[in-house]
Amino acid sequence: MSNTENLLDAFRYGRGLEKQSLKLKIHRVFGVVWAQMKILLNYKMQFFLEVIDIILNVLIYYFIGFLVSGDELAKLGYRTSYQAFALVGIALSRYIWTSISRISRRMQREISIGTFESILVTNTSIDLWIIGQALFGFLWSSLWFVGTLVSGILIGIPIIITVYNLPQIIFIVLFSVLVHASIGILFAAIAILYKQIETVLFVFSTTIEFLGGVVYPIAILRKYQPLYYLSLMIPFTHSLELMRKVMISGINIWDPAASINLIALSLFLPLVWLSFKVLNYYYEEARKLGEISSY
Amino acid sequence: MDNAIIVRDITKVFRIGHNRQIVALDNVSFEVKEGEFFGLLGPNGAGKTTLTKIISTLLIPDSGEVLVNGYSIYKEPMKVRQSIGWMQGETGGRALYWRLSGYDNLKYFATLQGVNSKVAEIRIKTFLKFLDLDKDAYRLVKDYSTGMKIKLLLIRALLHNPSILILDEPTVGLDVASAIKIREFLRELNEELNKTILFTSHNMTEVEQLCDRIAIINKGKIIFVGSARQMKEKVEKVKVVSLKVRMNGKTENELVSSLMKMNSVEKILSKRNDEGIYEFRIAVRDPYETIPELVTKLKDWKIEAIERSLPTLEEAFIRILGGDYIE
Ligand SMILES: Nc1ncnc2c1ncn2[C@@H]1O[C@H](COP(=O)(O)OP(=O)(O)O)[C@@H](O)[C@H]1O
Ligand SMILES: [Mg+2]
Repeated sequence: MSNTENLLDAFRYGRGLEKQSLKLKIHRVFGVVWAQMKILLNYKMQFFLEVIDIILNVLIYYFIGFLVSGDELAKLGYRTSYQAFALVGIALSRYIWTSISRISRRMQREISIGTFESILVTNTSIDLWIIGQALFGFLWSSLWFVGTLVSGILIGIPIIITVYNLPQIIFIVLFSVLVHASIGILFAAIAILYKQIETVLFVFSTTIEFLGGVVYPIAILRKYQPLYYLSLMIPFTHSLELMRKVMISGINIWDPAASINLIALSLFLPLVWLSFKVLNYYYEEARKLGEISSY
Repeated sequence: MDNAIIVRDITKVFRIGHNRQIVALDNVSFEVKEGEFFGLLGPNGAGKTTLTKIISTLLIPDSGEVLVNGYSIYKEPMKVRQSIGWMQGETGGRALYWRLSGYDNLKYFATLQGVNSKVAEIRIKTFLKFLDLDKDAYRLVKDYSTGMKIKLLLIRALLHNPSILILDEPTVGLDVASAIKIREFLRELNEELNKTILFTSHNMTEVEQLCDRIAIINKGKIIFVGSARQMKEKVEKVKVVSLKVRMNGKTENELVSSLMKMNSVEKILSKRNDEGIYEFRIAVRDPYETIPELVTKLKDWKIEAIERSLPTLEEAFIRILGGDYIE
């Protein structure tokens, strides 16, 4: 058989396109996840560094924990060791932060290496692509999230995970991921045109560290009313409060003390819709300005 | 329907900074017929990439309309994307994931194109073999040569079996052997598989060899559309003499006016001052008549070199444009 016949053979299945179904959409989203995973695994050094980073973080807060007495925390309403308090704070904030920043960094990276255009010229929409990126970011980081909690438990930090509250914990995580993925998508949208996205990410990470109550209880902020109210306006604060109430204090999410945070968190759900609107707006703008590849 | 691509009055202006702007495309219109191998020829910065990106829905023009397979780039961009395979050679094989193998790159894009995975596998393997990439398929792309990357970009553009290929300088920067291989492949795609090809290049010979019809674009304007033969005839009429002189106390203007007085000089195409040696490139009617005339008439200057020279693409354009003398 000649080479040319071979070529003709390649197309004997016609266009070979799947029908535009939900199944196909999911297939594409997981295609993105699969590719990102393979790329990351091929960067052996980076992979290694991410592991070291997590281990160091757990250790640092473990030792700082010896400096803070449980009595002080108890006064602020958390009956636990500082280690447990900080472990949950660090684990969740790192989880959310690395996942969010990964999406917009990926966006800028794909723009700068030119693959962004090649993706957009396929018939996969930018929406599906970004969902794939967000899913990968959160899936990947959730390994570290779980890893951090498990290593915390192994060194004897008292956090509560039972068959009874595990579904609640998973629910809180999924709900938090939904809200924060939309913030990640919002940042990625901005990153299409605004090249200094690292500044935005920095402001975001300090905000959640400082106002979200990662290493100290937000109750402390009551002394500075404006800061306290500001901290209540950040979805992360409520995710973390929920998490601590369930994992440390052993409260159920439907108890009023916890459900108040759940309600507050759901107020941020419109962000999901907004983030896709903004993404498509910036994408249109970039196509007008000629900025979807770095010229 | 017999037009695969219709471009109507496309204008695109890029704003740079606050008050500078570049007219990248100025009222461009042409069409490409189904099954045609159509060349878009123009020097760097002419607007080729801008135009191909507009047709591929990657850029939105300021005004005008483009129909691809009958679909409007504004109203049905997804349909346009399904109809076309696009690649850009200029970036030297960026736009690939260097930390994935060639095979995985293609597999990923087949998924994004919505190609059934069994069909995708057959196509990928066939193309890799056809372009001699099968042995390197599982190596990471970061270890590929430019030629191999370009081949990968071409295969990627074909995975969903589009009827139209939009190839932006697919052979630029390639060694001669790779460029020949790619040209053969494109010809095969056009002749055997009846793909419509819109092909851009700044290499006149290549476009002439491959294309049924050619449009020449310069500074955002289409200045010629016709067959390769028509272009060749026009270009062959352009005869150029290159003259290198020292001024020897005279002024440049004096030299220009002496040149313009000569019968056989048609147009001064360009002039360049290289540390006191001026190079003039001159379009002439008959070089064998001009050269002796220059030697006798330019006694007051010091002639360093004088020779017949082939027109560059830009020079051929200036003549094809049919403009008057520059000076
Ligand atoms: N995104 C962009 N922003 C600003 N200027 C651009 C952009 N893209 C192209 N240009 C300008 O438009 C003109 C045409 O460029 P291009 O289409 O790349 O030409 P070609 O592909 O023929 O070399 C050039 O002057 C180039 O600098
Ligand atoms: Mg170009």
